[in-house]
Amino acid sequence: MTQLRVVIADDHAVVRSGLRLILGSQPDIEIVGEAATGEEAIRQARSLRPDMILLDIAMPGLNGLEAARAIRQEAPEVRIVVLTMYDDEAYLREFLQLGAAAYVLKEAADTELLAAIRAVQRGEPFIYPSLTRQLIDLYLKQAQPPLPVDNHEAELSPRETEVLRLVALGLTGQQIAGRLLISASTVETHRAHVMEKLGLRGRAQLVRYALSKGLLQDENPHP
Amino acid sequence: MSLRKKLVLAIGGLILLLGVGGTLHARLTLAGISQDELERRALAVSRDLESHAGESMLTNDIFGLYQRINELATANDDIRYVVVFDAQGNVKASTFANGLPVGLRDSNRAATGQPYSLTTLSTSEGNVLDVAYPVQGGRLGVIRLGVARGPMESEVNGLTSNLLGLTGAVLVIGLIASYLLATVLTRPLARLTLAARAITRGEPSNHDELYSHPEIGQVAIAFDDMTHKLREREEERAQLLAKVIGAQEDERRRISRELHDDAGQVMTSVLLGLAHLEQASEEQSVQVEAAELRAATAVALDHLRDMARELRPSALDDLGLEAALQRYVADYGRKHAVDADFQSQGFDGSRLSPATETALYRIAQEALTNVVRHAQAESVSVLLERRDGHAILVVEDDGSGFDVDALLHLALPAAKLGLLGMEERAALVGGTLTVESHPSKGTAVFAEVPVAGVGP
Repeated sequence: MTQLRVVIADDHAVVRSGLRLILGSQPDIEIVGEAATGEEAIRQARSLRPDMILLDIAMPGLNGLEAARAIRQEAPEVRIVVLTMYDDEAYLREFLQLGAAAYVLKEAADTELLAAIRAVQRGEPFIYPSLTRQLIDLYLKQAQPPLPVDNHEAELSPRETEVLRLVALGLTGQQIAGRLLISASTVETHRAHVMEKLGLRGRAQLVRYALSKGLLQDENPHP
Repeated sequence: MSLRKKLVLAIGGLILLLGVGGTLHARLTLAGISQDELERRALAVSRDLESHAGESMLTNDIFGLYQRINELATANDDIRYVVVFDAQGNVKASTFANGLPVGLRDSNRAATGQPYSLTTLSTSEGNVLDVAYPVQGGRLGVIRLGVARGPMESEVNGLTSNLLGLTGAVLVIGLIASYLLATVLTRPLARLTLAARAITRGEPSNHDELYSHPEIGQVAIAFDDMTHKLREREEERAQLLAKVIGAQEDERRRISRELHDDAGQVMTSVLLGLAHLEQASEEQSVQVEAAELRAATAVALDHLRDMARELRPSALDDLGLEAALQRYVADYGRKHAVDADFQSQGFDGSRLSPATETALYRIAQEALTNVVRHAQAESVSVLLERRDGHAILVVEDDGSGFDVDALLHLALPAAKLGLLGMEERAALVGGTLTVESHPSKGTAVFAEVPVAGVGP
């Protein structure tokens, strides 16, 4: 059986020894190096050429993101398993874009880490299950048609379209009133009509609608 | 230069200019008039003498002529000399007892056809107006009359020095008057300065009498308004500072309690569990115990992570405002069961300066906290836009709203401190904060901040 050569990069010695404990129980896993900073992680990946590196995000000096970026460049064959406290979907997305092979939360290191390592060994990506849920939610939200009532668009008057555009650009009611030379309450009325006609709720939805209609292209709200 | 100096110099200069100019003008005019007068008299005397001289010379009455010219010279102080020449240029009669002064004869001559000739001679006795008056057209000879200019000149000089003296006197009076005027004018200003210094030192200032002054009164009133506004602002800042300090203390208390309640308790139970584990003998019970401990630790870890993120999300530093805010809004919606919607545009992964990102993040946090506390909203939108060197954050809810002006004019500013805090945060990074709200029409908080080209 070929040995799986692993480098552990985490700034906390306690965590590193804990990981040693768990991984040491596996006969086919060999820990070839440890790193406490992002720079060390990059150096070890470059010189030791391990099969896999367990990478923490929060590290002094270069953080895990920057280290992963450098490792992907300099030693692309090293597979990166992110092991972190952060359950932010934004981090996950960053690392996936970078080409990380797995993303595991530390709170599940005891149960999921080995599963993740095995999956990566087989060439499959691994994402911690609760994050998978987040990813799916996000995907569904983005895939949603942004306008519940698309076909009503034709009913917007030119004035209403203009108000919609300026609201979506983040102008205040006063600013819109000043721009269109109408009163603030008239702006409110127009806006209420727009929301009602399109069945939209809240400024964020208005922005998405305006974006989808290309109303915000090349716009300069600060003349 | 002080106002006093300026005023004194201006008035003094004006008086000096007018005085000297006037004196000069008067002197020139007077000199001209006196000259004309002198010439007219000399000519009149000469003309009168000419008819007598002609007669005397024709009758050869040299003695009569002599007597006449001496009478003339005696009667008129300023007539220095009279000399009558015959046609050949010999002296017929003269007031000079000891003969003609050298050079007098040729010093003035009326050309042929000219009725007379005037010239000024410079003599040891001063300037003399010399008239050469031909007798009978020059056929009989010529009269020479010398009139001293001295009396006329000293008259003009006397007048000039009188005028200069007057100018000097007026100048002194003018300087004193302008000095006093300047004092009167600047006294209220000096008092205003004293009042300002007193206020700077924090002493109460009493400058009521300033208000009665027609012009300075306006300054005093404007100054008072400013002082008032500054004091208000100062008080607001003090309250804000107190609130910030209080909030910091609250935050620490909360963290301390959560650390104690969550992590501390779990660690205690883990400790106890591990002690138990040491003594446990059955493999079955060891496994169960270990699984329980693991689960408890995982929960504690979860709480710790949430706490750390609430204090300051690492995503704000590592990934930027857009990602951090998106996550915050999502968590916020779940936690408070509100429809919380986040939309950003114009960022495309670009970053702002750390100070700006932190400011906008905290403003959004404060605005969203206010929504939970006061608005009873069903939905809240968070909008983040970047465009043309500006970043705009909008937090808008459909809740109960409030009267913005009324809140800002509240005597008790506790309620408006949250708004002021957001304003200060925006102002610190050069931005502005606008709140638009009406009762039952929701609230929108706009933060607009200029951003430099911290590239994508």
